[in-house]
Amino acid sequence: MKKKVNAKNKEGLSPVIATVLLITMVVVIGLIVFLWFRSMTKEVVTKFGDENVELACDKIQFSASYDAETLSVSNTGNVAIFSFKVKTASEAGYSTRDIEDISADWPTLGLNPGNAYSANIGSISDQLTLIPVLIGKSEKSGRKTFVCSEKNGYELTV
Amino acid sequence: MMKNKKGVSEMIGYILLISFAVVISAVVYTWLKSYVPQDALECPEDVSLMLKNYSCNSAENTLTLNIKNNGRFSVGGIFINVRNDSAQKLATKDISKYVHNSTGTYLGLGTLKFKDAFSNEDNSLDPNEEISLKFNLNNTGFGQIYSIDLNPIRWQEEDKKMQTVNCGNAKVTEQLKDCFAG
Repeated sequence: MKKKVNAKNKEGLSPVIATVLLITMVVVIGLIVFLWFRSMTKEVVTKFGDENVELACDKIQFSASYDAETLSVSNTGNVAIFSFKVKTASEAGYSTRDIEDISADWPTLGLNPGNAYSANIGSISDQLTLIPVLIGKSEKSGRKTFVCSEKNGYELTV
Repeated sequence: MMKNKKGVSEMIGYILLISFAVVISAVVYTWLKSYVPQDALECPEDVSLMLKNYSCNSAENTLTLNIKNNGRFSVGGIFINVRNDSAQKLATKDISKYVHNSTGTYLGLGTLKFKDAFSNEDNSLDPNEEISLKFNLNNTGFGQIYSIDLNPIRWQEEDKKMQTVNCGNAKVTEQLKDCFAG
């Protein structure tokens, strides 16, 4: 007589435990993958809450003039301008400097809405472009500066 | 015998696929959320101020401005800059902090708020109303003033908070004749 194998005696995991383990493993693996992907994406700098600082660059409004070696800037918008990159053109090519390096009078906290600034910056030969620099918040590094693109800049022909 | 071939169970495969899809969409959402544009702080279009007249008292070194709201919306204050260099085009000298405190309050950062004895509202200068502001320019060393820029300010509720809004599009520039010309 053949002995019948009793299937109920086979050892193995209970289906409930298996399901719980599976779900736990999936959640843990998902979390690891999520954190890994986040570290690969570009750091997001925000201004005015959750808005990306790149969008704030498009809201900047200011006017500027260069007369008798004096640079004057007036912030006519509602976005505080932390600093400027000053791009000058000469025969040798282009050079870009921070406005704080050109003039010690630049306000430390930047140019608030409605405020104006003027200082002697010396002689400029040909073309001058002011590119705004904003300050925003980043989750990783706290306060962080962001240089707007040149399309947000202001060109002054000397 | 097909049933004996080893492979990933279909159930596990589905769970893994769905999990990866959820994780990737969470990453993309977190990144894209910052690109949703928020409404810009803006003044209503018909905000307007005019400089009705002015007087420069050289003996006392005071400047008095009579400003009228000729727009359709109330105004709460101004950013005010003067130009004291004939070679420059822009007015960059802030005189808001020199205001006499009977008609205006200096709030810092170049902000001058109008005072109205009959109104507690933030935007106290109603349409067609006038206000006279006096500035004491002693010891400022400004010399002659060639022009003045008046930039209206309104206080508006945005995101359930009162915000100072610069009405840059309504800026007024007036040339001043012989003001502290010496």
